[in-house]
Amino acid sequence: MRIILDENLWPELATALNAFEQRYDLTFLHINEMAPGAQDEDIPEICRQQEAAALVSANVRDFGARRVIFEALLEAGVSVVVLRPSKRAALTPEVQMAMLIRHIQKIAAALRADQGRLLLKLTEGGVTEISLEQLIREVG
Amino acid sequence: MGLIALGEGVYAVAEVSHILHPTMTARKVHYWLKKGILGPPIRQTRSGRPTLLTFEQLLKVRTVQHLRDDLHFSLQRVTATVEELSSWVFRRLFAQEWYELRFYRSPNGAIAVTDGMHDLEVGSGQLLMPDLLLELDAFMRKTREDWERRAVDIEGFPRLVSNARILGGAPVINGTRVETAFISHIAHEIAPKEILRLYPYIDEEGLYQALKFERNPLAA
Repeated sequence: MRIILDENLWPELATALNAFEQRYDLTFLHINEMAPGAQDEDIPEICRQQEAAALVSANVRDFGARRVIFEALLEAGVSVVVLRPSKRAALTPEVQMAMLIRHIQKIAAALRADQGRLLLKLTEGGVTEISLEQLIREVG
Repeated sequence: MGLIALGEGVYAVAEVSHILHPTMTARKVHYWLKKGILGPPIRQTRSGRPTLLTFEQLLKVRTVQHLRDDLHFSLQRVTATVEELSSWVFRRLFAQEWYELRFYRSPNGAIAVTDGMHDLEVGSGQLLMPDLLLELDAFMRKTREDWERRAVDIEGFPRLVSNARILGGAPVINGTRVETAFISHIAHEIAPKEILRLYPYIDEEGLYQALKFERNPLAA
């Protein structure tokens, strides 16, 4: 299964996570390698072309703007994993790496079970399946 | 919140005023919204959640403010005049087909605007200098260009852009999907030089402009 990382995420994160490619049967790709500065409307098509099951996005603010992209991805059958920072730590590359590695198994299992249209919120505490409405209620 | 299409942009009012700094404030945006000039927002403020506007409404805010500031109508008449003028201008600025808008002073001394087929006269604008009419024409052309590319430059930050087609219009470093807000967020824990090393597609000027735009003290 393939997963695309959006451009806010550390570009070397894909390489680092792919060290566990065999173990979890997950391949990570960074969008900057394929389509730097891609427009939102191209993302579902990029995911389709790459046969990616999900897009990982880091969200620190302005969630309203992201809603339409997430909706379009979900409609296109692409799941979305949203990294949310904690009050303690910013989403530095180390934190991005730690969060994804810690919960990679659960993310993989959820994506495999659902076959698309899944919105997962990833925090330091864990990964939770959530609806867009719930996420908007939490972050505005 | 009703669904809106990708590429239309989604902006909180505070974000609109930030992008259109330094002349715009959230209070002014709310004023024009209340007057009905901008049309209904995507979402009204509710339970602490911000009012959300489209990219078209961001351009409307900028245009209304420009007309208001440039046309020098008397205070008693300014709101009514700007309302009438904006409504006429918006029908043309955001139409499928574009006919160049030209401002001129009519023989009876009134300020008027034409699209080549229809004209609208809007009060006297006594203090208006002739050069300002040409400047208004250029502003309308620029607004139409911005509408067609669905992006606005951010004044004083040439490496930044708000493109309705990228992350719904969240300000980003031009040519990337990297938000200024994200740069400022990680800069609390990573030195700017280290960010440049970790994210090779971010350029130094873009990074410092992002920090300055986000009023991050590290930009100093």
